[in-house]
Amino acid sequence: MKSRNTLAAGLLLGVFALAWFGLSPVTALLYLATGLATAVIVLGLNIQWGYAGLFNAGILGFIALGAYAVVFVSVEPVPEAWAAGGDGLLSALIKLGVVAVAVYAAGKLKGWLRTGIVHTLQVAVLIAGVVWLRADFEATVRAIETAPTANAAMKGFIGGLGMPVLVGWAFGGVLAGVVAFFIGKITLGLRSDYLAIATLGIAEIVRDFLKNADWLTRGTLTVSPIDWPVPSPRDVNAMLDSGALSLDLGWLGIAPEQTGTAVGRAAFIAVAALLLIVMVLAMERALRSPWGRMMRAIRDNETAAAAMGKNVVRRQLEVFVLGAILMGIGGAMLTTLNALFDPSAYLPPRYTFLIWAMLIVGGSGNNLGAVFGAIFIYLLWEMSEPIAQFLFLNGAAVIEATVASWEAPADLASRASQMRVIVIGLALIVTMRFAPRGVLPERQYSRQG
Amino acid sequence: MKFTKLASAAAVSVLLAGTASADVKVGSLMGFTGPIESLTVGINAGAEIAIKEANAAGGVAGGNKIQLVTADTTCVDASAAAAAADRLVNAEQVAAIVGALCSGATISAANSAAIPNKVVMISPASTSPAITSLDDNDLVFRTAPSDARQGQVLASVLKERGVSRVAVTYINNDYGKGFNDAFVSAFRSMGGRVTGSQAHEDGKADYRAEISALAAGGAQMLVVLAYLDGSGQTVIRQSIEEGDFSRFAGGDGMVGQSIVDAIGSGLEGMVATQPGGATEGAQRFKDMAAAEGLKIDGPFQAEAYDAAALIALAMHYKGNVSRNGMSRAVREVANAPGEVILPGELRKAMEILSNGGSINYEGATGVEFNDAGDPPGSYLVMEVSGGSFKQKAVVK
Repeated sequence: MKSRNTLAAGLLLGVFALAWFGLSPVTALLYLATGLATAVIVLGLNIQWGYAGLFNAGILGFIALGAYAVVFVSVEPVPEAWAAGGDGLLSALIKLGVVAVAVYAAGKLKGWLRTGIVHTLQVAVLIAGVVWLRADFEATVRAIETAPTANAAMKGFIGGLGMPVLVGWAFGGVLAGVVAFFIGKITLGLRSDYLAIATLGIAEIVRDFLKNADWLTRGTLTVSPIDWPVPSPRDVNAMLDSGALSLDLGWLGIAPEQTGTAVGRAAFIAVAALLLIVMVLAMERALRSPWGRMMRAIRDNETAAAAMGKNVVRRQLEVFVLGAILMGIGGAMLTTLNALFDPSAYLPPRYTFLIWAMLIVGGSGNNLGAVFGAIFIYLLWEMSEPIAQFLFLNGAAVIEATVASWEAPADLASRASQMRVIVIGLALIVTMRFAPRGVLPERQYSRQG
Repeated sequence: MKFTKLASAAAVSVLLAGTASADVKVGSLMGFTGPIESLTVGINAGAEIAIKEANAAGGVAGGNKIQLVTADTTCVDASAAAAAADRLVNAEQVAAIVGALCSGATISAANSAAIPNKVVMISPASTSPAITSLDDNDLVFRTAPSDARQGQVLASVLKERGVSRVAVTYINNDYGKGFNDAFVSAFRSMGGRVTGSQAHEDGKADYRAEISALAAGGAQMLVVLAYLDGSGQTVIRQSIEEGDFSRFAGGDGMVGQSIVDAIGSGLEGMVATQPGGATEGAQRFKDMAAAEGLKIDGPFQAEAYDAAALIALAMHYKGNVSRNGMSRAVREVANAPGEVILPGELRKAMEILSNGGSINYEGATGVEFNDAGDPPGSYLVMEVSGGSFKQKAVVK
């Protein structure tokens, strides 16, 4: 076990040092910041899969929801759009509440009427409610999308609430959690494959909604910039330029013009690392508690756990929502870091399958493994391009120098870029061969601790 | 054993030579993988021609040779674009960047790496109207005009050809959406009818449902605003197979030999607009490219040449290869007054600048920047005839 920890720490430090010295300290800091935000997402997946064995194939949906939450909370409102459609939105919200209450109340008739009739009634109320809601809503959306704005670039977009971005991170968790609650409520009673299918589908729905609800999300026109919870590189640069701050990081190999970027990113890393440490400690505590033991018992044998009187579906719902909350927060952090919300960027290879690769390489069921996997695989993913370029271009030059008849293909640099996909696949295969339960496998807690 | 020694000796010498030959690096931030990967190779080659020319003229700002460093944005993923741009800016220490291509990638790269580090970006291909309003401290330029203008041009071209009822299908991203909005409103204001306008998602295997819904409106022509290697090709192929449409039009993203080869004779008569001009500069660039063995068969190659040439000339104008003052220098060499410079005249331009004169770089696309760093833009009307895209007219 100890040797595994050393191995993980060594791998992480090695790749990070390669980025720090081989590329530049500032770039390495960006990779680390992205890795930490991704680690929050992988931690969420670890809770769902590692603790409870729930197969989530729609991680990107929860990430995208968290990302949108940041836009909704922290972007400045567009006053003209609010004036045009604010009343309509408010009435739509009230109507939504009325419909929800009506559906809930209809459910309370179960003692009086046959269950089938109650369900039919609920569906009927829901359909009538949606029709009632849509009527004005279309007009409201049109009003928002056509309202002339002082800032022409923001036309057709309602903006956000203009609140601090950290509130957006929290709201990202809430939004993802609420959606996960409804998915879980519907699918968790069924066999586990249905959860995979449902999450896969719902993730696509979430992305398509965010892409096409232009009035709410600005769709494919993207929203940027997004405020940082700490001074952003731009802010620090402004402070340095005005003389409000003077700092020399030359001893770290950071040039004067990179200082602002380095300080901003370091501050972001501090916030992300703090959040991550709190999360890992809380999750470790939960894993060792009776609740954690119960979760693992359910994961390993649902029937046995149910026979012992555990409410399997209820516990799975808890853990599914908890995991989704972390994914939402992680998505919010990533968007803040990039300072750009672009719903079309959320594609499965990068935001579902790479996340899975991180957990599998790191070790599912182990929180530290999840964090290690996230940072290590992300660093590997980014470093594979410059490393491949270096090897390809120099290698080609060597071969050209030794084999007279051979000429390097013209698109060698672009071929090098494609190597990153192969590198991740290779990392997965090597892990499966030599550490089938991940680099840091799940620990077995004995009575002695 | 001998071979290994030889190889390692060669490797060492190559490494040393590699570090010594580049006095200044310029980034080429492009979508080498992803939906426009086949366009990217040609665009990058366009930039390479300008760099080669500047180096052949003795290097910039006192003999500094330029090396073009490539980095992949993947075109769609904001964090990949940010990371790639950051590597160019902070690790490779480039003086300026040619790129990015896809508009989302340009915005992401500018916000996270270029603007905080005060690095100039000149995009040869980002046509989204969103870039005009970017808060960029005058660091982001582009040599490709905004879609808002191209939409009007395409509308007037179709109207002139007697098309009065069209259906539009566009790729659901900033490019497609901006282009569609501009085209539809222009075509309607010219008295044409748009029977349907629908977004489609890239990368699907089947667009038959969308196509037949659009065909039901009785349009004469399908306007496809997408990319030739992605959904654009699939939409056109399936329209022909299903017999829903036989006439097509498109924007710059649809111009390229690969789509003509893939679809074949069914594409004959397709009309498309593409930024560029029939100015003398465009012809000269074509001749130069032909001499270099580069086939001009896709859009944005001339724009890439201009972007790279502007960066080289701006460094020469400043007399140093640092990032400071790049954006002002780019404006100085690009805009009037001064001696007009066309492709292939970089040596002449550098001599004028060295002697304290001023130049007005026109290049292959008639470069001129407005306050937002956008060009006014002239367009080529392309038509497929005899198995390839042929240039039919120029719209200013």
